[in-house]
Amino acid sequence: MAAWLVVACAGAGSGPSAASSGPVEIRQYQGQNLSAISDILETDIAGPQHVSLDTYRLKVSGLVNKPLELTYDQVLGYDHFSKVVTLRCVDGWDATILWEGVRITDILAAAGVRDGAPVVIFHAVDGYTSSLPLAYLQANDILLAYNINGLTLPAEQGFPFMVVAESKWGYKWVKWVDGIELSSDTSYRGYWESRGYDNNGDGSGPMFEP
Amino acid sequence: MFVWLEDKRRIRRIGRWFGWLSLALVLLTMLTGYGITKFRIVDPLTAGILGKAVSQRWHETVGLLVLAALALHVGIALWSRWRGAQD
Repeated sequence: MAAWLVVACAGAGSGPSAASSGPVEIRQYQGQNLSAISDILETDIAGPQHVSLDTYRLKVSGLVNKPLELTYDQVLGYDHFSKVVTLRCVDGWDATILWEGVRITDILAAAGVRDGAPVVIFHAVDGYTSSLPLAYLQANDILLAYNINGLTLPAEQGFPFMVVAESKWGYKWVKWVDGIELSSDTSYRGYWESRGYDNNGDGSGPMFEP
Repeated sequence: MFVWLEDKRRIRRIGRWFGWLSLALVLLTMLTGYGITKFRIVDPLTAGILGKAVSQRWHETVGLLVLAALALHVGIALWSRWRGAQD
């Protein structure tokens, strides 16, 4: 599912990579055809959110040594990575997209994760939440994307940041992320997970809770 | 002969019921389909009964039931005509 590659761009604080500097949507990347951004259908709980960067802060909270409140530019200050990952929605559609973003684990490392925090809960501007295991984020270099097919994430696709939860169902790909919370609550269920969808959300596994 | 006619009517009635059942299931398929893609409308409209997850579970099952009910409806109608022609 997740045909991917990682390209470490220039160090922290660098600007966008060459792949993201053009205003034209990338439709082919290293010989691989990409879906169009418009192929990602709108299935959000409250419709597209319009986030102002003047007031936007990404809050890192919970079981961390140093809670953070990062501006958009501060998040972009972390190392950039690119991956081609297929987003699969439980509704039946999918889209193979070039994502560019920062590693979530890099942000968490800056905050200092305390022991006994195996769950990472993502909060979105519209009240949506979902969780992923910390071990999964670490093992897969999961990105917090700000670019999609070489363009800045549009409001409809989660500007300013979206979780690229590769190999997971689309409901784990939280859009409009404004909070990352470290938790010890392994029984936590996000928005769709508390409404019947499987908490693991593995694309190869069951769609629903047993 | 009279007994056979009684059975034939009953069988036709059952066939019609399967027809109505097919129609109801088709409508339920459509509703649950909308419950998946238009959950923001269907969920509150059904007082939360047809949420997205419930709609999706039902949608997968109802599709098979539609086919079964439709097959029985058509099958009984054909069988009934065939028996009528034989009479």
